[in-house]
Amino acid sequence: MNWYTPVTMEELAAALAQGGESSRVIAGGTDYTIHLRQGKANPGALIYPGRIPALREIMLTEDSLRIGAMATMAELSLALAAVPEFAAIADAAGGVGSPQIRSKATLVGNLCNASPAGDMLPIAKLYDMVLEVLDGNGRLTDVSVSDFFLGPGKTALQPGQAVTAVRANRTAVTGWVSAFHKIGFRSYVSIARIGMGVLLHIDAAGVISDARLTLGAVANVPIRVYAAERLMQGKPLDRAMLEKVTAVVSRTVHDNCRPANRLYKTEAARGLCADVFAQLEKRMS
Amino acid sequence: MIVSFYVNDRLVQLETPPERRLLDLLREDLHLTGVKEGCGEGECGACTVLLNGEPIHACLTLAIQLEGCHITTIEGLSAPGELDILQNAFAEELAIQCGFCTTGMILSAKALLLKQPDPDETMIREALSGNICRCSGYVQIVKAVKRAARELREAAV
Repeated sequence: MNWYTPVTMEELAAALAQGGESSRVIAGGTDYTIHLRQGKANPGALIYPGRIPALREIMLTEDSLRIGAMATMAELSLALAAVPEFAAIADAAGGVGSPQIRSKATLVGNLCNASPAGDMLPIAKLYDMVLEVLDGNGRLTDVSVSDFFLGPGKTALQPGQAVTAVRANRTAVTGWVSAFHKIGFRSYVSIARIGMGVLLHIDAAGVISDARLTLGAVANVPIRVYAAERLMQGKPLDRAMLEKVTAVVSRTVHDNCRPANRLYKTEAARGLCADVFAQLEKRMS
Repeated sequence: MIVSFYVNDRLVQLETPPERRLLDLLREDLHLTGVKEGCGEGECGACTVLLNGEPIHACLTLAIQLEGCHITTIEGLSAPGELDILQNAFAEELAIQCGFCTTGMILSAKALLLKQPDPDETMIREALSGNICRCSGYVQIVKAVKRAARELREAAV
């Protein structure tokens, strides 16, 4: 098997150009190694960009957040826990797998793997992230998260391309609070049965002026629940509002999930709403 | 490919296919058999080693990812014939039955104590949440980590 361990972006582009159609880029490798050993993957070449310093960066400026493809879940959960508008990213990253997984797995790797149960899919959707895609000619193209996920394990990424970073617009969410929570089979080391991210902007009078809500592990791709968002706008964060939002979220889960999971997930979504909003209230106080 | 990395502070250079696992490099090429293969898919934690001080699965780490990295295995915690404070605490607290999970357990605990010298029970349980033990029920293991933390703090005074 051919292999490339580029140390600059130029070398990465060259590796993408030379690697051929069946080359594969790996980040943490925590999913890919399993696929490889199960014989589900048979790459002609492996490309590991972990030695490119720029890809390890998490850059938070006044108007944007940029997460390099090799920044790990452990690093993200540390870096963003105290930033209210991005705390949902820390929640999700800190809940992925086990400490061993979080030391290597990356947000971008999770997105490119595109498992419907991936915790970072609803997160990317929540922040309307933009993916920076590099090709073999060294050209960087922006791809919106709404165009990226095509189905289970399928993305808009073409052979010979690699995602080098994702960006979130910080200006759009400055002053907002956020939270992410998931339901799994157990409290640690679990794969999401449903994941939910919420972003709220609450004005000085305690009224929600804007809201975003996304769900993962429900449909094949992450979904944004616009009906729930509209419900929240202009209302205080109280029990009556929460009940209405919970009903909409639960119905959305019912309508979008596979029939085999419907009974459980429709009900579980209610508890998940309670958990996410309890976390948001804690963050606001 | 030829990959150069550090194992227990010694530089090693190995010729290997890029998709070979760190687990196999350690056990087969370097004869460091303290690292165990349990599930081989990142669920059980028996193959835990430290990469630059962070816990990782040796079964999910490929040779292509290792250039320049520092790996610590259970063999690197103490000189041959001696026990590190953590190893001793696991023995004293009877935190071992079959022993298969122990080396991974101790390395996850080591990673915790490198960052947090005085962890409470929640922190210990979270740090060990990726290591599964079928024998002990974890109570003695948590006690052993607490004991090691205390002894390390006392030794530092």
